[in-house]
Amino acid sequence: MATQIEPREAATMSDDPATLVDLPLTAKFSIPQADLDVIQLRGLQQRFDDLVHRIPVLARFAEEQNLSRIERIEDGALLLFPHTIYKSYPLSGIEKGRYDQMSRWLGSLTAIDTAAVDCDGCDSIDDWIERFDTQTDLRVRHSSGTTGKLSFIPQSRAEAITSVRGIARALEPFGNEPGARDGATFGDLPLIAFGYRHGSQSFPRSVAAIIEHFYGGGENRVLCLDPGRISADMASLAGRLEGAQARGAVGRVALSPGLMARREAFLREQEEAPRHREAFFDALNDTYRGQRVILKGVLPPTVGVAVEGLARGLEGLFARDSIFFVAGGAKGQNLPDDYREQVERFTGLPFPAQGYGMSEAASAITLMCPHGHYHIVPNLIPYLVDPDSGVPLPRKGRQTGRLGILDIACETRWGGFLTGDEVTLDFGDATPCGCGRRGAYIAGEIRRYSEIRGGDDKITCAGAPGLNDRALDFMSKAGS
Amino acid sequence: MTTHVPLIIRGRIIAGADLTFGARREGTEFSTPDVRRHITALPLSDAGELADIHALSTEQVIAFLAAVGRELVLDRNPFLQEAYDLSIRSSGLSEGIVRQLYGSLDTLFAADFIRELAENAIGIRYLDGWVPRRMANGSTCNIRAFGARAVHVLAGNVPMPSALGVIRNAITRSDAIFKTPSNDPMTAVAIARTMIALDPDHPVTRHLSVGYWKGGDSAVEDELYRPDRIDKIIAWGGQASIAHIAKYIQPGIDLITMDPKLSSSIVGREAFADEATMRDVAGRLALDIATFNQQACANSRVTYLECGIDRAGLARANRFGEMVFEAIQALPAGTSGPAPIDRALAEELQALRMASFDHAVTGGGPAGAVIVSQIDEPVDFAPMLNNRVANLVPVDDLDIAVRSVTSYTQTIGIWPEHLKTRLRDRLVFNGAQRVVSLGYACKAAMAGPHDGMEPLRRMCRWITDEVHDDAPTANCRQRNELAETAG
Repeated sequence: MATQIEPREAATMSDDPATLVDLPLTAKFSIPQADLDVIQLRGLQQRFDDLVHRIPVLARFAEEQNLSRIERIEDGALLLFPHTIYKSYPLSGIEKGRYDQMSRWLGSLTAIDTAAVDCDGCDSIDDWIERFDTQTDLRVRHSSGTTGKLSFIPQSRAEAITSVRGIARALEPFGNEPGARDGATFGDLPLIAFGYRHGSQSFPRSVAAIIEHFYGGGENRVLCLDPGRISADMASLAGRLEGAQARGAVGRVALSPGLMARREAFLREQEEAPRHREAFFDALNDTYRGQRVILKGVLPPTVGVAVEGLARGLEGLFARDSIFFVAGGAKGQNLPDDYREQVERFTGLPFPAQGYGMSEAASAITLMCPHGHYHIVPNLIPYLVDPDSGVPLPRKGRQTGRLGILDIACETRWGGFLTGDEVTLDFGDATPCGCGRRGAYIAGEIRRYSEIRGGDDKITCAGAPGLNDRALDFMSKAGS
Repeated sequence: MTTHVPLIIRGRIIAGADLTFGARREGTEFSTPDVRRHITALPLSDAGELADIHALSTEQVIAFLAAVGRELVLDRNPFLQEAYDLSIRSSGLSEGIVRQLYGSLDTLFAADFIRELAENAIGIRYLDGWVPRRMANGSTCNIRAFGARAVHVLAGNVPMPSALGVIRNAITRSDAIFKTPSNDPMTAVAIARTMIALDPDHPVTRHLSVGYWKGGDSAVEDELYRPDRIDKIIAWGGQASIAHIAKYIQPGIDLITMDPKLSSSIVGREAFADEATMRDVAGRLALDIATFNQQACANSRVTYLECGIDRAGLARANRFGEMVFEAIQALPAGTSGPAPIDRALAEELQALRMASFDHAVTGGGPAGAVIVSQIDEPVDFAPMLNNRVANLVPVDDLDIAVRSVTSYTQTIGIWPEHLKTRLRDRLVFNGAQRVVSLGYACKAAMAGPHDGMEPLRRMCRWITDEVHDDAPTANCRQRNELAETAG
C-alpha cells in the first residue's frame, strides 16, 4: 500500500515545499521518515533563508535566539510564534481608526509590502481588510475575537489556494480505505457550505478560495447557508462588549462612525436572515435533493442546520456517495446528545470522520484515521513543548505537551506557531499507527489548555450567533 | 506529589482521600474526603445552636483567637508547615514571600488588632448585648448585632482571606462553612486544626467547618445554598465563581461579594523634576507594584505618568521605567522575589517585545518586567499583569487616568500628596474605593472599610427589640382624628 517517493521527487518537493500539500493523500502518508526528515529540513532552511530578512518579527525572533541559520530540524522549535503575536497591536488602533498604523503593524508579520496600501478614509476593519484584498496579494483572516480582540493572520492569496487544495486532498481515501474512489472533489460536485459566503474569518475565506480555484469563480453550483457577510467589525464589537462586561465597563464601548454608518445595513441583514434560511432550505429540497454533493461545515452550525431541516420534514437529502467534511469540535456549545444521528438522518450520509487543523497554518487539516488518530501532514513539522517552561521535548517516541507547528508551505509569512492544544504525539518511529500511514500522529484526546486551566472563551468560527446578537442589540440601542 | 487535606466539620477532623484534585499549578495535587458524602452534617441543622457562641463576650472571643494566634508560629506548628509547603508549590509566589506571609499570620490574631476591628467595624457593645436607642416616635429601639449561618467562598492568592475569614466569623458570632480554593486548600484547614488542638469544644472552634469541593458542584451546592440552611454567602472571586452562586440567590440568602479588584497608580509631573526625585518616586512605586509579587488586589498594575507623550516625555517615561525595574530588583526577599511569570502573560510580553511599535519592555522572565507604553494607553492585557510585571503609561493630561477608573478599581496610589487631594473625589465617582499615598498601597488599614463597604456589618443580622411607652392604639386615634379633620 505504501508508495515510495523517489529521491528525485523528494528533491523537487523541497525546492517548493508548498507542493507537498498537493500530493495525493496516500503518497503524503507514505514518505519514509528518513526522506521526510530531509525534505522538511531543506524546506525549513529554504523558508527561513527566504523570509528572515523580509519578515521583521521573524528577524527579531531569530536574533533573540542567536539563530542566523537553520542547521537541524530542532532549531524550528525556537521559532514558534505565540498566538499573541497576531494580536499584538493596540486595540485603540481599531477603536480610533488608526488603520495606517494597523497596516504598519501587520507589515511586520508578512513579506508582502503593506506600506503602499492606501488607508485614506478607512473607517472600519472590514474596509481595511478589503483594501488589502483589492490592492495586494494579502487575504487577511481574522479570529472570532471572543477574548475582546481580533487576531489578524496575513494569509496570502496563494496560501489560501494551497489551503483549499490541502482540504481536497484530505478528503481522499488512504490506500484501500473506503471513500470517493473516482477522485471526485470540489469543482466536480455542487458545494453546500453551512456558513457565511462572505467575510474574512477562516470559513468564508476558505469557501471563497474553493470557488475561485475549483469552480472557476462561478457561484451557480455553490449554496451557502447565509449568502451575506460575517463582519469583522461585528465580531470585534461583540468581543469588546464581552470583555467590557467582564470589566464592568460596557457603557464605555464606543461605536466608530464607520460602524454607526453601517448600522442600518446590519439591522436590515438581521431582519432578512429568516428569509435567507427559507431560501437555503428550499434550494436544498428543490435543487439538490438526491444529488451527489460536497458538504462543508463546522460542527455547531452543521448540527443546527440538521436540527432545523428535520423540523421542516427534510430527511435523507443527498446521494449516498456524497462527500461530507466537518471541521472543528463543539467549540464550547451545547449540542443535542443525538446530534450525530440527527445529522445522519437529515443528510442521509454517515457521520464523517472528524477533522483537526488550525487556521494559523497554510494547510494542516487531517481527518481521523480508522484507528482514531490524527496524522500530521508532511508539510507540517510538529514540535512539542513543555506547557509551563516552553522547553522543547524530544522528537521521538510518544510525548505529551503543547503542540507547536512549523508549516513549510507558508510562503509569505512565518509558518511557525504554538497552538493552545495539549496533545499526545507519537512520532511514529517506534510504534507506527496500525492504519498504515507513516509519520507522526496525535494519539488520544486533544485538550485546550484554556479549558484545562479554567474555561475557554473561544466561540464558533462560523457565525458566533449569541455574540453577534448581542452586538446587534447594543448597536440598535446605540442609535435610539 | 499528593498532599492530603482533611475535611473539618465543627471541631471534627474527617480524614479519607475519596477524591483527588489538581491545585491549579501543574504537578501539584491534593486528596480530600468527598464533601457530598458528608453533606447532611455540614450545615448547622438547628439554628438554635448559635446560642453557645452568642453567650460569649467579645473579650472571651478575643482571648481565644489570641491564644490561637500564639500557636500559629510557622517553626513549630506542623499544620501550618503543611499549608506552607503546599502554598510554595501552588501559589505562584516566591518562597521568601510565602515564608513572610505565613510567618506573620499570628499578627492578625493579636488581641489589639481584633479589638480594634470589632470596635471600628461594628461596635463591641452591639456584639455583646442590646443597645437602646431613643426614637423620634417615642419608642425605644434596642439594637443588637447577631451572627448568621454563612458560607465563605474563599480566594487563595494569599493566606490572608482564610485568616481574616476565621476572625470575622468569630467576632460576628457566626457559623461558617469555608469552601476553600484549589490553589490554597490548606491554610484554613491548618487554622481550624490549630483551634481543635487548643480546644475542640470551644464555641469558636465548633462554629467553623472547612472543606473543598469543585465550585459549581451541584451535588453539594444544591443541598447547601438553601435559605433553611444558610443565611449568607460571602464570596471572593470573579465572574466564574459568582456565576455558580448567583443562581442560588433568593429571598432569605444574602450574597456579599468580595469582587476581584485591580489597582493602579498616578505619578504627577513634579516627580520628573530631577534624577533624585525620580529615583525616590520609583522606589515607592516599586513597593506598590511588587510587594507579595503583585498577587494582591491592592498591587499597582498600571501607572499613569504625567510626563507628557512628546519625545522628551517618552524619554522621561523610559528612564523612569528603568528605575522602577531596578527598584523592584532591590526589594528584600520577604517583600518580593523572582518567580516565574505565567505562560499566558509571558506570551503577551513576548509578542510586545517582538511585534509592537508602541511599547518598550525592560526585563522579562522571573525578574519581572516594566512595559512602558509609547502611546497614552495601557496594554490591552492590563488585567493579566502580575508577578512583578507593570505597565507605565505616559500622558499629557491626567484626565486619561481619571477616566480609566471603573467599579473594578480598588486602590489608587498617588504622588505627590496634593495631587491625591485634588483628584480623589473624581476618582471615587468613577469607581475607586481607596486612595493612598504612593508606596503604601499594600499597607492597608485592615480594620477599616473594605472595597467600598463594611463587610463585618453586613455579615451580621441587625435585630431590633422595640419598646413603646404609649398605648398601642395611640396611632389609631390619630388616624381617626385625621379622618374627622378631612371630613
